[in-house]
Amino acid sequence: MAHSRFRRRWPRIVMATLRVSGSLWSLLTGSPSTKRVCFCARARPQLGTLLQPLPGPSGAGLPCRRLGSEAESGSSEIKKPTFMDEEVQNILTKMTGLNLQKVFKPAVQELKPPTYKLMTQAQLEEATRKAIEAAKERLKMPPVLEERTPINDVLAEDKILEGTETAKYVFTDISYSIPHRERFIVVREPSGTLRKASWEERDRMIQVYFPKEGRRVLTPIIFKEENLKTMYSQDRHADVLNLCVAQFEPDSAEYIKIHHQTYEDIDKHGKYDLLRSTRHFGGMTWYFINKKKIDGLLIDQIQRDLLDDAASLVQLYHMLHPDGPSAQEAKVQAAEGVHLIKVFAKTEAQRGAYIELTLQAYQEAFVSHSAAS
Amino acid sequence: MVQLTTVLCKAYHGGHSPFCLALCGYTNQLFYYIVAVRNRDGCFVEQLDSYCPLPKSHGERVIALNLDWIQHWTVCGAHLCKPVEWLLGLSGFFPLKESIVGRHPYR
Repeated sequence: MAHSRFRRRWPRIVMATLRVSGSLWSLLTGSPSTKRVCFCARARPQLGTLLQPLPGPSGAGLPCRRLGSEAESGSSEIKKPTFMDEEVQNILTKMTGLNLQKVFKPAVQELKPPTYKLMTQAQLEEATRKAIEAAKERLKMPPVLEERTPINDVLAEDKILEGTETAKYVFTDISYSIPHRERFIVVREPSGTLRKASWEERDRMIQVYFPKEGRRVLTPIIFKEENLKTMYSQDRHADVLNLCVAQFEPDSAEYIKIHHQTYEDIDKHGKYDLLRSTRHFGGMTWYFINKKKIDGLLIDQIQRDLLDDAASLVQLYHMLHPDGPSAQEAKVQAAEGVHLIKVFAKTEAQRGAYIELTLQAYQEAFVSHSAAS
Repeated sequence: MVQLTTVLCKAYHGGHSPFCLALCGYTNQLFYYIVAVRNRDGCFVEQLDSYCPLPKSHGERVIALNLDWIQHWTVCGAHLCKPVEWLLGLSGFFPLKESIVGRHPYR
């Protein structure tokens, strides 16, 4: 770079006023950077309101950080179980199942000829064990969070800037040491207002500067209504959900909307088996239990001889709705297993008669099968 | 690519730290870097600044600021040139300078 040419021409620069009495961002940034740098900054009292960190929704943050605190934030008398409770996760994992063929089904990738290995029995068992561990990693459930509250903070209103600009300016802080949730992204409108960027703008900017694999800056068109319907008709619900997890944040409105839409479609057509042995099964079950619509899933499980799963589903339902008639009845009768399902079918189910019929058919088939063998 | 340097603050301040924040631009693709340079050699690229209001980006001008390093260099005594001052004032990081407002340093 030929700087010497310019040295002669340009005048001396004006030194910026560094006596920053309460520069907004240095105070707002908090611990990571203020530890390194000591500013002689005096906080103005009215900045107190601006010193709060970015507003996060009630369930924001990575689930692993909130395992304990979620339980504490519940009411003092009854602790409502959340998605990330260990007990809930155990039940959901058991119900998801572990079909290795489905978890490791061929995905679209570079064509290469298959490899064949000659193994002893012990080696085969070892390889199977490793495959199971890898499958468990793949089956880790994406978090289920509340929808995030929109950001509406206005940091400053400078009327003198009004009319000087035509486009809005988006400033992103690209310091590496800050987690993305706490990153400062502000927008200066042409009207002179300095406001915090909305969640969509934030996600877009973070994707521009810190690109995540599988995520696009602009929303892919596959998430439009018509295209989603096409995907559903092709039974590709798992693909839709995988794309959704890659593209959106777990607490964004689109993520939650698409997930709910997919679950509703599955419930309407009874295609529960599509998500079994995928990582979305737990989320789907959680959704149905919260909406009190577990009948279809229950019937599907009984028809596929998964009575244990059916019983644990009803058990989870009672954990989440302990005040319902079904839970009370089950507690009174100390019901277990098939009996538990019958209690639920009698009290709270919408298709109770159908469930009882299916159970009866299953039991008859079971008896006749055991009699034959 | 021809590099169009619009460096405004390369003068060496006697007694002060020689670091200053400057702007480097590119022709054909209106794109600026905010750089901390030492007198002659512009070395340390810290932040990114694009001034092309891309239609895809919803008509926004996107600027990235590495605030950790801005703080670091300002503490080390870096001087700011007018466009950078104006930008940082616009972002809310530094207070707005009234003398600069109304005069767009780029046009």
